[in-house]
Amino acid sequence: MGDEGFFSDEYANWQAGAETLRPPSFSTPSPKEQEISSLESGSGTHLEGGSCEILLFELIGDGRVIGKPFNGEKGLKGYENIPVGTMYKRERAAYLVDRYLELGLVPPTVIRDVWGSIGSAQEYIPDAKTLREEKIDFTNHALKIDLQKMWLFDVLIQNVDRHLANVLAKKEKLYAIDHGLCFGDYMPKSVYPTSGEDLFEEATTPFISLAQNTEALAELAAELEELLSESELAYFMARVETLSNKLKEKSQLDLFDVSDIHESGKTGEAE
Amino acid sequence: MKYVEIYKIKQNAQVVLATFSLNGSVIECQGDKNFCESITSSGIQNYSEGEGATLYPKDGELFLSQLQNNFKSGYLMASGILEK
Repeated sequence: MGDEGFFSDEYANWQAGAETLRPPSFSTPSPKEQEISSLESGSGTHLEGGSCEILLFELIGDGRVIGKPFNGEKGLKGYENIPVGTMYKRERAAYLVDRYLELGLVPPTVIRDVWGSIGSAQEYIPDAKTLREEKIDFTNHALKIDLQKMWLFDVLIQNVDRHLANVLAKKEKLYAIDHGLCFGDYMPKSVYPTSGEDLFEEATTPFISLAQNTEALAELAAELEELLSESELAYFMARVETLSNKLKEKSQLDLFDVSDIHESGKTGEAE
Repeated sequence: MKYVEIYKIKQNAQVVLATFSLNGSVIECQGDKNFCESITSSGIQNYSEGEGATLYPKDGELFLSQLQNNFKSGYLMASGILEK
């Protein structure tokens, strides 16, 4: 055990920027996750507006987080099979899927005490603007890859709530936020559906690689077990395989493919 | 007059990014130009009908009522319908 506390030597080496930049295993939390989980909360504020209760508070020692307490959740009409009181878990689940895919789109998100209530806490990205405020160049190659990754990610996690206000942009990098309405039984929505557009290998490789990595998938499933219902997890695992199969066969993903992926999740059987 | 404010985080507080006001039967957006243009051109989701249609400022009070469901991430938050 090193001076940093409970981190292993291997983990400490990784924190220090050792040659292997990835953590020892996918299930090892990142340094930022560790901070958000363990640092004490400082001053903050209840944010006014919105349909759910959201807090912005400091972590003593480093940064701020957006906190979503479970008892501040409110459901949305038409999405009743996403129970109120589970959205904070879905925020964490979406981040884990992003982490295992190594997309880097979702800011680190953990479950912890959020001012007296259990909830999700996500790293706050200062000075980021939503795509409602910031016009981005959709022909920029790096941004296009991020958008394609985000679309595939949303198909995989069945995100019904992706719109321009749930995508952040900062210094030519995109972030995906607000995942309380994921992993339900609904067709995903996107700001950038790729029908008719060839998908770049940089966008598709993470999804194909994860499907082929049985060890990582098992680790991810174990983590998601704590957060999703049995059927939601089973449907998700089927979608991982179906999406990967489609991406290996085709250079484009049309709405029929997305529907197939959605349906494979319902039956729990991959196509 | 009914109106909805859109709040944005600035440092440790929220500031008003834009305001949608129902002036007679017309919704006007005042504030951040990019934001107002984006909403006017691409609309917002109508959650009052579940997996429903897109709403635009021309949809009046229904549009105002659905802003709160569309802007709820923390980075942008919509008030409920206010009156002055």
